Amino acid sequence: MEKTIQSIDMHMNQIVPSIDRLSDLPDDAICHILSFLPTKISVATSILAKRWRFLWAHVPNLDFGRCDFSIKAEYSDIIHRIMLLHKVKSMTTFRLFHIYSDKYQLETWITIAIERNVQNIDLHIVVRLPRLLEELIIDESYIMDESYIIDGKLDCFNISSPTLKKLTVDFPFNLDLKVKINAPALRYLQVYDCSCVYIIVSPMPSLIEADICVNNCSLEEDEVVKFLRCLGLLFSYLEFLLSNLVTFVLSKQIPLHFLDIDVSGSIVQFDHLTRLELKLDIDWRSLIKLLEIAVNLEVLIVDVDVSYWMEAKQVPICLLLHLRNIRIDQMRYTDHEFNMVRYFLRNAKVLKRMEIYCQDIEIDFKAKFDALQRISLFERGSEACQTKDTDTTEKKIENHLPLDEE
Amino acid sequence: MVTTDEKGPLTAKKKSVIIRSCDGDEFLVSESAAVLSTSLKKILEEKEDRLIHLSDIDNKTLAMVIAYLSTHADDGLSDDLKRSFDQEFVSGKEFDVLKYLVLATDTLQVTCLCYTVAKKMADIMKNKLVEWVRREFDIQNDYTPEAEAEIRRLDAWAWDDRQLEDD
Repeated sequence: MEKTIQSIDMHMNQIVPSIDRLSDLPDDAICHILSFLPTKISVATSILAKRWRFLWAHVPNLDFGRCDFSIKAEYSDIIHRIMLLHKVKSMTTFRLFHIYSDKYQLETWITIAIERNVQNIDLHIVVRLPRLLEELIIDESYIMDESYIIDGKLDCFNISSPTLKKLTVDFPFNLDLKVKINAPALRYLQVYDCSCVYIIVSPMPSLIEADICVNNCSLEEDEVVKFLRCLGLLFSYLEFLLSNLVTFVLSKQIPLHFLDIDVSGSIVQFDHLTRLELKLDIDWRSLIKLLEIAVNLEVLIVDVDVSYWMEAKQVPICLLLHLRNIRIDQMRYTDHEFNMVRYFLRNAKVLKRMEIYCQDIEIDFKAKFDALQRISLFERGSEACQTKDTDTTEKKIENHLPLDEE
Repeated sequence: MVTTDEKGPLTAKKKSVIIRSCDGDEFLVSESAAVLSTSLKKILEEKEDRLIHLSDIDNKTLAMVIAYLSTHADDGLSDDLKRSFDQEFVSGKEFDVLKYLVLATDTLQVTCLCYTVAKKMADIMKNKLVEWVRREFDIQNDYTPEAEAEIRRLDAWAWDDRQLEDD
């Protein structure tokens, strides 16, 4: 540092007054340039001249990134100071990387960012919790436009924003985490590893895409119950509030029949849902129930373990009018699955394409051929329908199989 | 001097405009390229004038901006090609040149070029000595040594471990 000051002094002595060509550049343009730099560097420009003293405070983002910020407790104070001095009314990005801080500080900063209409929050944080003393460093995640990506380790996390459009919640490992989401403008919601997460959502009338991935195989019995409750809560809210849902992906790895609990008795419709992807072991009644409320469904992708299938009394409207594509992943060729396939083929009146992928690549050609023979004899409700049965390993077998019809 | 843009002679069907730089050079630009600049678009919408005089952009900078606009207006080029053109466009350019470009894009309101240039300038500025930045930006240090030392003390964290280079 000493050396730098010296060289600057020398420079000062030599300098001949010249036109500050950069004064041609408006402050906005300078702030635009600085916005590509970490906050640390934009703060460092305050040394250049009086005009630059607080220019950094007008840079639309705050980026306390990984490369330029050490993991030291005193940096919390620095961030605090910077946030207080920062003057921007609409922030684009607020990024924190591996900062030690307590949850109160973190909540304060996020509150400030949200009050400044932040569009992106990107947190990669290490939070010391009294009960769980081990420090956890969360993996890097990606930032998206108009989104918050929150990886964290906190007891309760409130996400509240009137403008938030995209939200990814990814909280691995924390068993007692609660997440409250109040984001009425949200359009995209992704929740990963939420097996242990209590998620409480407020109305999201603009939501068009929800991707809920439940991903935990090692839950104990009581955790399963707890998890069921929170997911049930989430799902009942989704049912109740998401009238614009266009795509809905639901996946998990543990066998639960929670949809049965929550979907049945629902009088709500997913009027705008056109694509439904299910990757879970779903009860047949829950599946039919989902199809009933998704009246305009066009694409159905099921990667499910159908252990039982029974014909429903009434055919869901989407099958009669809209469902054009069905993909069945992980077919095991059980009788119940054949019944399901038969049901879809008979009742889906506008179906154009059904794809079936078998679960076990060991299944020999003979078995597959028999299966195709069997399926080919099923009654077709739609004349335009073509069926395709293929290995998961060979997804693009065109015109090789007996059932490929134009 | 009338220069056609990179797409070659313009067909009679295609509308074009003449843009004049502050030093009097004139450039013939297709309208589809010109309207990528929000400012030019506004001018063209307001009046039928086919000659636009830009009093604060010199001919070198204007030629570069027009080359950029023409490339981006070319429907025959894929987005990937345009992206690699953008990379090529800013690489190896002097900081000074980029400064005039960022000023011009600010005046002409060409958002995507402004982004590309500003990002490049930020990349160059990274890890440079204070002195380097002052020199390249022609900034006169109007702090007293005491005031400067005080700022360094206040925000010492901003300088503590920077890898500095000087050109």
